[in-house]
Amino acid sequence: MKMIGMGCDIGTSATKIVIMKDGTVAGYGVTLTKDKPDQAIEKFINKVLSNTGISLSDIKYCGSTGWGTKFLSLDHSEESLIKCLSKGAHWTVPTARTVIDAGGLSSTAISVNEKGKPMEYRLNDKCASGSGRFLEMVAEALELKIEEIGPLSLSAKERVHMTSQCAVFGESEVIAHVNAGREVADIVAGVTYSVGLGLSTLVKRLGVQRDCVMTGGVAKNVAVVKALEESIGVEVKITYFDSQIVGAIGAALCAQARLKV
Amino acid sequence: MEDNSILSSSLIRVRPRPEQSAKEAMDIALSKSDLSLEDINHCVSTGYGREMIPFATSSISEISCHGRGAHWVVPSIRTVIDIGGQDCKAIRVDERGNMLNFAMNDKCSAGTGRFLEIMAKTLGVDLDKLGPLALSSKAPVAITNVCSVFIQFEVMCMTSEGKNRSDIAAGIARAMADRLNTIVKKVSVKEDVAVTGGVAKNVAVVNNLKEILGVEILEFKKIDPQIIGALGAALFANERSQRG
Repeated sequence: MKMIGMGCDIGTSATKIVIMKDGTVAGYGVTLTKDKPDQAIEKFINKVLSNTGISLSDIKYCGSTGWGTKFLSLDHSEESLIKCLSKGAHWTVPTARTVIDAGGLSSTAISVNEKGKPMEYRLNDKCASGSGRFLEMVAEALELKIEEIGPLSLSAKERVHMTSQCAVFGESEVIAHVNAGREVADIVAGVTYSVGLGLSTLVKRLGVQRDCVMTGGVAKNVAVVKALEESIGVEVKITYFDSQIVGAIGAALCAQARLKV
Repeated sequence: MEDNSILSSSLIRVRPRPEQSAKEAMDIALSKSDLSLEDINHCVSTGYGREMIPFATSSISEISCHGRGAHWVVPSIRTVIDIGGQDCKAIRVDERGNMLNFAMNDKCSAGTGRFLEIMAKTLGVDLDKLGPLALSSKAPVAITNVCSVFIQFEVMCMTSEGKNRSDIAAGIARAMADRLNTIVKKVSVKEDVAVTGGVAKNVAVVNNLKEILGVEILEFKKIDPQIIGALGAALFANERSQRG
């Protein structure tokens, strides 16, 4: 019998859907979380399903996590994001002992055991200083695409020194650097460095244990990952899947585990 | 200023460079009073860009200037809460307007004018309409976050849920005052209390602040609360030019 299930991670910035079939990822999709999420989520699920040739009635279990879980009308179990990130990261990188997730607004560092169970975590859900949203704000201010920021940072000759912690003040500081005639590459290098450094303080508060795995949208920024690696002094692995869908994979795994009980 | 009276003043939105902003504002103020730069005996600059003003004779921190300026307008003032575009300060002054101690936040945009600017933009209202909009609310929403970016997201969600905009504006004013309170309570508030800076123009924030602090807050009737720092700088300039 084929075992087909689904995981949803509805974040403040992105909605992630994963279809699992017999313990493998059969299909997935990542889209921006819409203004009125309810219908948008369902439509997006159907779109992801249509790409896999699986119909909604084939889905035996569905786990959901993230800020927007309340908008999901399909039958589902609600899973904790910390658990989902741990399970998802462990599933993709079994040697993972520290999971660092940086998403649209919040960032989390979790220490997990050899079974992928979360042991302890540190969460920043109060301040947008090192968030994906901050990187978006900087990209908008500099008229860059978000995916250009990482590679551009790596080409910097002389990184600017960012003094602001706050995302809002950081954006103003970026504009001030532009007005002062600094190179865009040098400015974004300063930004990604400060974001990486911010994440490292979260990880250090938890204690660094190898292997470190980074997930979430910010993990796609090579320069942030590099700054994080330099600051904590160990390699940071990125999952071989899209780093944004790790939470959704975890949600599917959590829901599946409930079936077996 | 001439002797002890204001001849003219000006207020502009900052330009990219401080020297440019200062020159433009100075030109406006001079033309209003039919004076030229040569007529100025002493010019004191204050604020973030104070070290970069070529025509300034000397410079003084905006903390001292706000204390001095507010005290000149209302001599009974002992606590000045100055809320500008990118910081907030609570300043205690003595009976002569000299600064005793102060507390400030310039690290986090929550609790600064910048926060209100972002909120006005998110709600789609002009900044000067945010206060009046809040006053018309009967059931202010509860804002749960502290960070400007997080609250922006929270407000966007409330808007898409169809919550009343005046209730959201009232919630924003409350959140702003709560945030200000964390700074203000670091100095022991002594009456009379005045609020200066651009945020003083938001009645809803000032009302909330009165309620939280449990004190009356004096209103400047004849003088724009946003020019108090510059006024203080002019008072120092007067003092210095008389000293020779």
